[in-house]
Amino acid sequence: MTNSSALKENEGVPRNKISTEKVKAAIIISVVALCLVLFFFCNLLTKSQMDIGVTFSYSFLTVLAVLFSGGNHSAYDEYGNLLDTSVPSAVTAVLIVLFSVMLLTFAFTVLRYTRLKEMKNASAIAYGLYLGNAALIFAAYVWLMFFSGETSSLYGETMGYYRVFETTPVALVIVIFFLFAAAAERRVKQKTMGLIVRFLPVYGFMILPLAFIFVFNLYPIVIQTILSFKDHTMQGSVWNGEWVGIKHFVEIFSDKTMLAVIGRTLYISLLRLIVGILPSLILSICLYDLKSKTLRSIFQNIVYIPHFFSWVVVYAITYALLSPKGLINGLFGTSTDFLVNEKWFMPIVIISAVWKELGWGTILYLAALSGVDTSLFEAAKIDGASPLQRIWHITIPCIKGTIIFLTVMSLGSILKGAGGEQLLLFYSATTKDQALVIDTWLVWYGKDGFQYSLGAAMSFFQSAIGMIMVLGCNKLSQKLCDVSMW
Amino acid sequence: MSAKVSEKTYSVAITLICAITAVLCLYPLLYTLMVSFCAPSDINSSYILPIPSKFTVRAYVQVLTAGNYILQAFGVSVFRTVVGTAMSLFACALLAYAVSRAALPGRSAVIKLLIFCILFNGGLIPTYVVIDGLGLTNNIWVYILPNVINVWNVIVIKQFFEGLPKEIEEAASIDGANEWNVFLRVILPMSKPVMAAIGLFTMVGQWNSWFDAYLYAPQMSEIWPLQYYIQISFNNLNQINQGNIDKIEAIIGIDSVDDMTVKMALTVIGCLPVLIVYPFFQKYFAKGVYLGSVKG
Repeated sequence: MTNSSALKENEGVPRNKISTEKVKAAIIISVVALCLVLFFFCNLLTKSQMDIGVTFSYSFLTVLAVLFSGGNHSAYDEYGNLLDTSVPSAVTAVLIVLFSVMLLTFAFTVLRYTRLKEMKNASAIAYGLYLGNAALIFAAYVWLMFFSGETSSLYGETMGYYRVFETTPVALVIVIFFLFAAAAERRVKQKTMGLIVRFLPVYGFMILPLAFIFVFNLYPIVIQTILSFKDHTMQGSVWNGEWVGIKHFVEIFSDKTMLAVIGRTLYISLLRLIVGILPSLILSICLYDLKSKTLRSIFQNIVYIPHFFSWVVVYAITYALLSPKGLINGLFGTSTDFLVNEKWFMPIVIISAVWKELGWGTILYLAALSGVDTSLFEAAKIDGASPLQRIWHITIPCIKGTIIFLTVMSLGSILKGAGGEQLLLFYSATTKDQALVIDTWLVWYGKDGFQYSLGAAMSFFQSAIGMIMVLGCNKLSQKLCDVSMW
Repeated sequence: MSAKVSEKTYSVAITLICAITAVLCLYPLLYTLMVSFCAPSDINSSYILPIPSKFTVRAYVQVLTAGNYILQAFGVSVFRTVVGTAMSLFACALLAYAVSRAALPGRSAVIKLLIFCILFNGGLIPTYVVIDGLGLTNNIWVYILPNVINVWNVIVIKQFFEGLPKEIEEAASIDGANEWNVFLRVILPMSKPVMAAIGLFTMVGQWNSWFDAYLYAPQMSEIWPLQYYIQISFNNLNQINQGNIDKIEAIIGIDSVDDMTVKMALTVIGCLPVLIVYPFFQKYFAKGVYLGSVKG
């Protein structure tokens, strides 16, 4: 009995028993320790020996090992040959200095929470140390990025001046950690600290989901930025390769085929937007004005169905209707293959997309209409307004905000609105040119054509314009109709 | 008098429009279904609805007995749908619960991060590079891990959590329940509508997805999901890498890939699960979309 009640008490209260100062100390110490561990064990540098296709990776540990083995680093290539390579002494020296400073910082951090509790200005010194570390490592990172040194080949001959090392993002992670430690040291007030302690388990909840976001959402953005300003070669990693500035962006805007791709993207997106808007609007007004509630919900549930089919299934259905052996040809006794016909390609793509999304498009309009006061319609009826007048003067004004919002937002994502996934399924050899929009270009010529850098620049451009347009359009929609995303 | 007539005409007209749209939505499905039950000789007749002169499940038998491939593909699809949805729902709800706590320090930074992820993303090639670097290409987890967190869903769920009455949560924590129990026993049971809606969309998205197989596992027929399998079987020769035709016919396992009834049987199998779960979820999803698109 006593045991369980004590347990219960422990579960309820302990948050207040941990001193906030201790938690802060624990957080900062562990962050700095983590930096040390990362620096020591993770690969900070890579060196590609392109001629034989071997990449050497260096953590601080490896560099130390190289130092103690007379400056040579051994590795086996894919055929099992033993290879030697050297690390320039400047690089070794810089890494040793950085590590010493980090070690000192760590020692000071531990000391000020244990032995030197009474020390004046300890917080300011710690703050300075963390910022200093971040700055030093960042400077070293940039330096290494452009570092040129004399290297020897595997056979001992001097190879002249080459940029021999490539940095990995580990250094940047360490910089971020130090900045975090500095912010925690300086910015976090006692009260916030109390909250952080209280919410510790909630922070625990966030770790795994945030890790996924970092790996699958943010890291591709970093790669995209790096790739689009470098020349990617298939032999090296993303981090190898020359910095070429805005070369790829210049190519996008000067190359005629690229401009044509962008133009076609805009054209198809706009076409989809214009053709798609009206049918949904009309259908939602019709559904809303239906007198019978049961009938309305039956119709609603039917027209939503196509939205839940995959594009593969939609293509299959289109095939059933339009292939040489399909329904249309069967009806008219012909055998035209509409699906590979250049003239029919765009209409088929657009109409099948309208078919898929027509019903689903009504859902937001109906949601907006469900908030309208029905007595408005009753009053209009009594005043003798005809149904069309009611639509024009009551229904449309009520959903005007939603219409503008949806239109403006799809304008905002116009560079991504061409429906690459659908085009990839519907195209054929004869219609490939018509299906060439940014998204399909990325697959056919970017990925399959190994133009990684150009492709990254293309999607960088697409994303950047998309972000600016969506933010702008959101503002616009806020001004026009007071509806916005957030 | 004329107003009354037009009132009547109007209600007839709108009912007609709705009915025609509904028929247009259903008819292609019905046609597909009917063709799949026809004998190959039947479909060339010019019936609007090819009612089989002799009802036959020959096409289905042929599809289901053509090697292990279709069963394998079906298994892959079920796996990615079940595991992918469960993991994604759980992780999104966890993150949403964390950022729905108004007093949490650092909350606004995380929300800004989420919004940034909606606005800006690494395109197809950078994502491919990352996924390839993680060793996920030709790996069945490529269908699941990159889709665990859907930022939109996190924001929709967060919005819903913020609308829940705060008193219950407070009462629970005073009673000595820890955060984990509050989340699992109090918040989640109260969030059935939003979880059902998001769950449905995630499920349908997973079941319908073929593009990730096309990008990350185009040569690995063992882990093709059903949709990609169907896409391959429909591929006209133009789209197939010429050298691979033999291999693909072997994979499809059907000698006459040209057979319309077989293709339609495959299509029906591909969309049947969606049609089956649809009625159970339809009362939830309107709300889910509304939350996501207007407020989100």
